[in-house]
This record gives sequence, C-alpha cells and structure tokens, in this order.
Amino acid sequence: MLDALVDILVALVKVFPDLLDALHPDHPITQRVKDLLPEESESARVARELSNQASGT
Amino acid sequence: MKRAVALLLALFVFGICPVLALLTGCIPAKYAQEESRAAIVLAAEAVRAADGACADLAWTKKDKALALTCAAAYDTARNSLEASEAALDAGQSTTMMCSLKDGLLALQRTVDAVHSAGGNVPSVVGDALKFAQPFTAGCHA
Repeated sequence: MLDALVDILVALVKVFPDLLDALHPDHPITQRVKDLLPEESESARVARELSNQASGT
Repeated sequence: MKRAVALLLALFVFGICPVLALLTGCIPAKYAQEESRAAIVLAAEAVRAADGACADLAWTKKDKALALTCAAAYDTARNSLEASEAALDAGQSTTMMCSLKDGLLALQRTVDAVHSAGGNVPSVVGDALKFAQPFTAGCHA
C-alpha cells in the first residue's frame, strides 16, 4: 500500500513538476498572514473615523 | 506500474482531497507542517472576519470604545499569527504553538467584545477557533 502511495507521489511530481515547489512557504501561491491581515484593522479605521466625527473634522 | 497508473486515474476521478486525506492518515509527520499552516491561515481569515464584524457593529452603534478594543485585539492577533508562521517556517514547533495560542486568545477577545455589545461574528470564526485549538496543545506556557 505504501509503495503504491510512493508511486503516486512520484507520478504526481513527474506530471506536475511544480508541485513540490508549491508546498514551499516562499512559493507565491502560499498564503501569508501579512497578506491576509492588513496592517491597519477595520476597527482601527472605524475608531479613527469616529474620532474625526467627534472632533468635527 | 499499472497499479500506480490506475491509482493516478482514480486521483483525477475522485479528486485530490480524498487522496491527500489518505496520505495524511498514513504519513502524519509528513503533513504536520501543512496542517499547522492551514490552522494559522484559517485563524488569520477568522481574525479578519471578526474584525470586520466588530468594525461594522462599532460604526453602527458609534461605539469608539468597542472599535478600540477590537483594534487592540486585532494587532495582538496579527503579530502573534505572524510570529507563529515564522516559527513554523523555522521548524520551531513550541514557539509556533504558543504564538498561535496567543493569536487565538486575541481572536476570542474580539468575539467576546462583539457579543458583549450585542453583535455576532461569522460562523467561520467559531470554526477556526475549534479547528486551530488542537494545534496549540503542545504549548504549556
């Protein structure tokens, strides 16, 4: 069973040579936390807007 | 070789997910890093969703204190998840788990703040908290 799975992996890498690269953390398709979460949060933006409203700017 | 070709065909017929699940079950250590990364990414998605829900509620209620509470929790969660991701890349599993735990605690603070203000968060937030929790099990800090 394990041999068959290894065969599948080898076959996959032959068919899709970029497969292993795609699993590497620096590959461009890998999602990173900094891309998912912008530096300024929505709540911080709202807090700033509410402050501006309160101060009349 | 014929078996491998047949199994490869099955992969295309039945999709990649069942095969990956099978591989994960057979060789857990090989996929532990990918599973941990999935937990971190899902937690980050949940942080964004919870922050959005909090921002909407704070704007509707003109509640600046709520917005500031959520902003502080977001910053903590973001920094913690980035640290967890960096530790994962460096193979530092304990740091990865403890930073993820800090991120989840910060996410929970956002959830609590939204609930206290009478709002709700998207279901992905609860799912992420449940999914990612086991990945912090090795952190005893």
